[in-house]
Amino acid sequence: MTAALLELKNLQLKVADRELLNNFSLRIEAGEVHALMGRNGSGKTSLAQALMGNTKYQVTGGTMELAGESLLGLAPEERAKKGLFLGFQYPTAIPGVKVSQFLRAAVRSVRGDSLPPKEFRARVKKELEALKIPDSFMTRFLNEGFSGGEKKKLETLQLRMLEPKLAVLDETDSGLDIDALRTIAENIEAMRTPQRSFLLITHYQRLLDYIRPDFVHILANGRIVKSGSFELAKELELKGYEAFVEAA
Amino acid sequence: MNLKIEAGDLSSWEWSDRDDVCVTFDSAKPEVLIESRASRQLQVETLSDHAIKLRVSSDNNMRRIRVHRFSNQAVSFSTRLIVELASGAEVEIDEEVRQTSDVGHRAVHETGIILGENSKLRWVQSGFFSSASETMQKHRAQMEAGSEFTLGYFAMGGKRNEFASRVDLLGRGARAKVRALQLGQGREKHKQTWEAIHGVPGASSEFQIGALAEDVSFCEMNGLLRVDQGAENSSAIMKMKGLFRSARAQIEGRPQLEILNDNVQVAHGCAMSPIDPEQLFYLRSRGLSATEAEDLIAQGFVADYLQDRDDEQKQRLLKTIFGELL
Repeated sequence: MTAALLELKNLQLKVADRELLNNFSLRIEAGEVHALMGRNGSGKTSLAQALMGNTKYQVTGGTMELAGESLLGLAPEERAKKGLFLGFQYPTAIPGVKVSQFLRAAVRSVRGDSLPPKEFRARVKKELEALKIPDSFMTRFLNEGFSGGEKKKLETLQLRMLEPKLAVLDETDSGLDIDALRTIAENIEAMRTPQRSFLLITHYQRLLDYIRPDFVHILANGRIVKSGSFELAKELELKGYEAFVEAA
Repeated sequence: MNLKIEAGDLSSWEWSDRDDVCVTFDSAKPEVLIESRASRQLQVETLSDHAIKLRVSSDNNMRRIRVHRFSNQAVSFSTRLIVELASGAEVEIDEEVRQTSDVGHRAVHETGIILGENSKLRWVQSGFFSSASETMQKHRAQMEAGSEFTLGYFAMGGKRNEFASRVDLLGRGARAKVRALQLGQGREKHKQTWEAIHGVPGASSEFQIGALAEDVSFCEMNGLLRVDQGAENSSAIMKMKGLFRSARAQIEGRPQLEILNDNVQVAHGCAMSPIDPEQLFYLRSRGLSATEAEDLIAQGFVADYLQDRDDEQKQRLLKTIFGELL
């Protein structure tokens, strides 16, 4: 049996002695798109942060593997270099660091020096056009003074430039107007390949209308209480989380 | 950071298209050296061996004056520079202060600035000091109505490095804007003192003061915004920020207000922090090592204070401080 792209088994996660996930398991094969849905505070963002290696979140049990290799104990940069990408729900601002400088450093770090400067510039230009971002964006300071939509577009720009194996997108749809949601979703959808997988964390069905997931999971009480196809997201939209949490 | 000011290391520079005059105070030379492009003349008055007064009028189309104050000798060195802009005159000054003696050395540099009505002065200063040097700089600016003064100050190195500035806003509509940063490494001690005195109505001042401290260095920032009784409709703001790169570094910030008029807009603030772990995590999630991420955050912090410099100056300075940039 070949290794899944992402395999989480009986994961236990804590932050400051508060249990967030308990016996959480999830398997994502190459090329699959999974959606993880849940109420506020259900642990979705904590899972995403722990996957990327934020030490604020302690993995106290279980396993976490990417393409058969354990992620536990790896620094965030090592996880990024292994092909993991986290699209942040609230990307942090870094004053004084220009987007262009940051993006070049990120691409060089994650992909090596495989993209010469001329190609890098051409590629960035193409991506900016696709995401409907003005060129002036590149000379602004990283996320400083950005609107919610601009931040999410920058996350998507990074996703497209870094070309990860697995992208965990934490509420990429929050804070977006209808047009921005469509633009971002189309750019993500265009990255689907038989090798690349996505874990979409969201509250709403609207993102999933553009990026149709293969599987939908509902997270409650620290574990997945129900999994299903895209139809589950529609059912959730009608019934609300309450019905699923109570049934569990 | 990797900066080490080598003993005897004097800056080399070349004329750029924008430079019209170069003024050099060199401790090894008996007097001030003034080099000038033929078409652009300055009025220069010699006050003493290392003290001069420059007058810039509105009709000599002066663009940029380079000022160098250099010393690599174990002697006390005092300089005095007075710059007077006539009404309507505009000029840029790019100053480098460099002290590179490897034995005990003390320097005092005084600067007087007189800005006539509606004149404009943009002054950037970079200071580099070897570990044996002690430097005291005193700046005093007097601003008449409608004048504009922008000062970008940056310094690093030195056993002890002090900069004290006072800006007197004497005319309606005068506008002063300051961005200042000191970097502390090793056991260095740095101190900045900034004062703005609003004596008339309708003037504005804005100060953005910063310190980045590493190792066991100590950086002190003091500030005072004083708005006199008759200075209604004044606008004044002073922000201080400190970034620690080591648990044993110290930064102190004391912005103070003295407001004698109720009809003014005045604000001050002070924030000190170590490198933000959320910023660090964000950058590391994009493949940067912990060291690279910390360096990039520190570069960003510094770059924020270099906004009054052109891109080339900014890049050169950042490379001097951080080595090869990411």
